[in-house]
This record gives sequence, C-alpha cells and structure tokens, in this order.
Amino acid sequence: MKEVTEVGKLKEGRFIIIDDEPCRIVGFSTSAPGKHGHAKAKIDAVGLFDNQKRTIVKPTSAKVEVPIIERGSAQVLAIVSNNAQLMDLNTYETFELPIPINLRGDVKEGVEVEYLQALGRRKIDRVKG
Amino acid sequence: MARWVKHIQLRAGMRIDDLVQEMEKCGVFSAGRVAKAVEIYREMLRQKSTIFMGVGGAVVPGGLRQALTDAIRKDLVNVLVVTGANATHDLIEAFGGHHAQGDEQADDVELRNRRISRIYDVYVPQEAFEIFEDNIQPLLAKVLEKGSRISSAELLRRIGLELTDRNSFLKAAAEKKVPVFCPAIADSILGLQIWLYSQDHDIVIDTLKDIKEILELASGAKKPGAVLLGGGVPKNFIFQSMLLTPRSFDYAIQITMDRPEPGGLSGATLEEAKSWGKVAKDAKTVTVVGDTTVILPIILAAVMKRS
Repeated sequence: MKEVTEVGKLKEGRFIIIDDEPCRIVGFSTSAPGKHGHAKAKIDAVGLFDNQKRTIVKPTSAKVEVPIIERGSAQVLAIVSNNAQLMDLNTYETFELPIPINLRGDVKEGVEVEYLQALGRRKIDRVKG
Repeated sequence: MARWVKHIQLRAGMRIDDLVQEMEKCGVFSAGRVAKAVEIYREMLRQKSTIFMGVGGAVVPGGLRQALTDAIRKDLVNVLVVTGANATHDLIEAFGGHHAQGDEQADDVELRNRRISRIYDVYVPQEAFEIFEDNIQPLLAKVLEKGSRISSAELLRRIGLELTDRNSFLKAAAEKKVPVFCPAIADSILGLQIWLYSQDHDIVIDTLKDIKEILELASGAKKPGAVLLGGGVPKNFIFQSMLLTPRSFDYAIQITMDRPEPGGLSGATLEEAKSWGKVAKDAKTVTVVGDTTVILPIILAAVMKRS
C-alpha cells in the first residue's frame, strides 16, 4: 500500500519509498531555486527494514511514492531466540517477527508491542506501556 | 635584419583577411601572432589536418556560440573537447533561454536578490536554469535507454540530434558527425542534471569511454592540429589523446590570457608541450595572448573560405 505525494510536502519523521524500500525520513533540507534550476530537497532516509541510509535530491515539485504505514498492537506469546511470536490484539492473527536489536531484552513474553506494517512487511516498533 | 616592421595600413571598409594581411606584414607583438595563427590555420586546412578544438572558459556566454557552430558547419574543426559549462550554455539557448548584457560594476548581492547570476558583464537570469531543467530532464529520458553506459561524446551526439535550434553548436556537431567530448561533464549543471536523472534511472555516463573514443580519433588523425581556446580540461584532454599514439600534434594554436610561471596548464607554453611529446618537435605553433572573444572571431573570419 502506497500513495504518491510531492517532495515539498515531506518532512523529517515522515516516510518515503526509495529503491523499493520504505524509509523513515531523518533529514530534510531544501535549496532555493538557483544555478541548479528549480528548488530542490535533499532527503536523508533510513530503511525501516534494512536500516540502510539513503539520500536523494529531487525538485520539490517532483512526485515520489510514500508507503502507507499501518500500526497494530500485539501481545508477545513466546520468544524463540531472536524472534517473537505475536498475536494481534484486534484480529487475533498470530505471526512471528524478529526482535530489533535495540528492543532485545524489552520484548518479553506477555508484554504488548506496537508493530508497523509497510509494503506488506511488518516490524516491531516499540514496547507499549 | 631580413624583415622590417611594416606599419599597419587601415582602409575604410577593409575586410578581415586584408586586416590580417596587414598584421602579417607588421609581424610583431600580438598582431603578428594573430597573423601567424591564421597562417597556421590555413595550412592545417590545406593539408586536410584533423583539427581538434578545445573550448575552455565562458566561450558560449561570451557570444561565440554562433562562431563555433559556423566553424563546425564550414569544416574548420573535426573534433571538439568542451567544458560542461559550454555545453550547458549552448543548451540553455537551444531551449529558449538567454544571456543578457549586464554591468560588471553591479551590486552582486542585489543581483542575487533579483535572481540574476553574473559572468563578468553577462547576466544569466535564474529562469534560464529552470528552463534548462524543464527541457533536459525529458530529453535525457528520450536519449538514454535503461542500462545505458555511454561516453559523454555519445550523450552529446544524441542530445544534439534532438535539438531544433540551428544555431546550437551541439546540433551542428551531431549533424556534421563532429564528436564533442566533455570529459569533465560532472563539473557542470548539465552533469548535475544528469546525476539527478541517474538517481532513479539505471544509466552511467562513462567518461573513461571518452578516452578510448578520442584515442581512436587521435590514432587515425591526419597531420593532427590543436586549436586551444583557453586551457583547462579541454587542452589536456586533447593533448593526452596523442600520448598513446606514436605521433604528436603537427600544429597547435593557443589563445590564452594565462601565464606560464605558476605552472598551470592554461598558461603553459606550447614549447613545454614538446617536452611531454604532445606537440611534435618541428610542429608549427603559436600562442596568442589575448581574449578569445576578440581573437577567435578574427582568426575564424580570416580562414573561412569566401563563398
């Protein structure tokens, strides 16, 4: 699930698709129109799933794809090595996700986590409560 | 004391080649060197030399775009090596942008506020670069298929063939099959626009391929000659093309304002080029110290065949 937006409407903290990867924007700066032509934005972004840093420069009027981010809550049913078995608290769907390095130790059996879904892939975002 | 300095005789309505003849009889200072440049250029044309022209500095913004185009159409040049800026400014005009007569004394901060960039007394309105961007991006999409790995010369040939402005030197060159190399293409707004395009299109402008292509031309050149407007990248790229061949340039004409003492190439003498084997030891050479925008039109006008 994605949509198209104008580069000029993006800002830090929003999301963008670069190289087919959904990324979180961690830096956004614009240059005035000048020798290079129309106003440009430099976007620094980090892949949600691969943690790769990506930088692009686009005219602020350019169209780019933005992932639609869906969030859900899930309860941790069990921990199997670095993966968590989860149950969505709305749909009761069960699934397994890797535990991000920065959340290891915090994601424990019984706790509630927020996960996000982008372009059909899911990721544990934070521990709730 | 074989030859006396003959004083230049001016006549109302005299032709450029008559004036150059007077300079030749005078024979000294810059006038003598302009006349020698014309003599060497004429000999290159008589000998059907392969003529490599290097175009550095603000030649196109300075009003010599049409002169380059005419030189190409009239077979006065066979290979061009240009800076990215000269290709950019040719395209700006081809896309409908303009360069304006300005004032070198102007307040530059004020110019910045008025969205004008200055090249001495030439003004470039910022819209010119916006027009450039609006036109070059779709043009790149048209001439670069996915996976393209081409030289700068091949890119400029493809762009030149798409242009409709007959005054464009890139168009004239593409039509006359005169290759235009731009080895430092990244160092220009054209390069910046190509990079922007390359971010989401699988293309590479491979300037190492330019070396191979100019090497082929250098190897096949007949009595090679170099005409160097300014120095910089174009001058070196032309000279280094001959290094991998068993030959050297038989003729060289250089127009520059730079001095040799700081060791920079743009001011280096053509004698110095002999030590590198770039220019033949018995080559006919001349350096004219002067402004290309004055000197080049005189030389080209004088060597153009009367039709």
